[in-house]
Amino acid sequence: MDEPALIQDALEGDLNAFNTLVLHYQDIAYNVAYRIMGEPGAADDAAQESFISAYQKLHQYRGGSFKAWLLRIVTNNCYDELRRRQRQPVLPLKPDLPDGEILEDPYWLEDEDATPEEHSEQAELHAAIQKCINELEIKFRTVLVLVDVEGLDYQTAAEAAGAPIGTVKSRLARARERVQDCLQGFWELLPENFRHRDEKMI
Amino acid sequence: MKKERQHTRDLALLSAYLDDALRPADRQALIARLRHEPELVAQLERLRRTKLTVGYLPRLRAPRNYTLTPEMVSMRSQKKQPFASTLRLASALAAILMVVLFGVEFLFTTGPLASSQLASEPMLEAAVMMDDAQPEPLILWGHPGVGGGGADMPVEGRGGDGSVMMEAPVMVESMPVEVEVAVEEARPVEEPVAEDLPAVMPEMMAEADLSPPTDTEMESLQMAAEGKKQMPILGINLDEGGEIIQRSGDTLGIQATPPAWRVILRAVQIALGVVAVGGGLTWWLLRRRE
Repeated sequence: MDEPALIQDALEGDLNAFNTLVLHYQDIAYNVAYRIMGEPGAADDAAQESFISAYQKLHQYRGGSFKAWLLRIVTNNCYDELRRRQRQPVLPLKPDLPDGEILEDPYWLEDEDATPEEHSEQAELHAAIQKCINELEIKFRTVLVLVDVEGLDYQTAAEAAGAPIGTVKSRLARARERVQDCLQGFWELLPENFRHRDEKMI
Repeated sequence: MKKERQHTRDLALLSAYLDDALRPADRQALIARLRHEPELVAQLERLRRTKLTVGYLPRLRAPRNYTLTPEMVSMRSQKKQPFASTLRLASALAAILMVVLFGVEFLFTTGPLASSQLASEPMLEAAVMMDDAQPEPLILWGHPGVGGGGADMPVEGRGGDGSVMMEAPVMVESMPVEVEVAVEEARPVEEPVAEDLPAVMPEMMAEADLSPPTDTEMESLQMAAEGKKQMPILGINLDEGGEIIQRSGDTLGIQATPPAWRVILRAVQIALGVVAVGGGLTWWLLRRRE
């Protein structure tokens, strides 16, 4: 994919060129939005809104990493949405089964080779990790998602978060420590090789 | 506190070490410490496992394609209402303009430009005050004992040469009788003065001889003799018991009201304030409704 050429074509009004970029980045955009928002519906909205904003603001792109620039828009949209929700709390609608059991979100069921029991354990573990991420302040959460979930390097993460690298380093360290403390409460869910030494002793 | 700061610093170093983002010198120093500090090693291990655990989260795929259609882009353009942004812009501009106008007003009223540029109001006030505080001398035509050229000349009704002066308006304004008394008291002063100046007398008498009373003066003298109306000058109406005619700024048609530019400025400032506050509040309410 010739990214600069696609960007140039999109700047000239070629929507197909921009859509090629969308297809390339939509998974990471949705994933970041989901990890920051903690909810699939909100992440879906944020991702779609981000691509529309990106197309509208493409003339403001000044070179550099297009992925970082795009993720900056995604995180900003997430911030805006979270702020709006703080003012007007929104309760997510979860479809209930007839027996009262809550239907799991489909993304937990993506490992097709896992047994139902493994599915359940994985789902619980993922939910625990996501819960710990959700408990972080938004600025720590964003950096943790960008570096530890998405695997971005510090430079790209700094651009995407709109913060200096030094700030990203310190935020990431504190975010990791807080998640570590939070996960103490779910140690039995962690796979054997992920448990801390002192947790095994408990 | 110091221990906590050290812990935070160590945490940042360990975290960056995990990501291989330390400078070579810092990295070497940390490795050296890790050899001797088991607690630091334990902390590094906990961070490593946490990083792995968080990374254990699956990479999700987008539930659908987010490709844009021309309708979506155009709808977005239409959806973006210019009203809210215009309101916000107007509110901000009004606030800025109001501050600027306050600044200008301050500069031209109490600031460094007040005396040089627009001093009309203070000057006007000062003029009115001076007018009230330093009244001109009052000279009464035809009043007995007032005025006169001195000596033994018949001076009644001819107006004065300033030998009797009244600085009256403020002091006697409400006491017209005292004006009369003051005038009466002034009369005896003339005679000793005339007597004390014998050397001057011949010349003055000669001048008096050289300039006999004119017709107008004679008429005035007759009117005085007949007790006709004595016309006050410079503010005293003797027929009304020496009532002082006000000669302040009010009677002269000069009023100490703010100048027009200041009234207009105040009105503009109020209007801008209303736009700034009203626009800001409306925009805030619109944003909350979104």
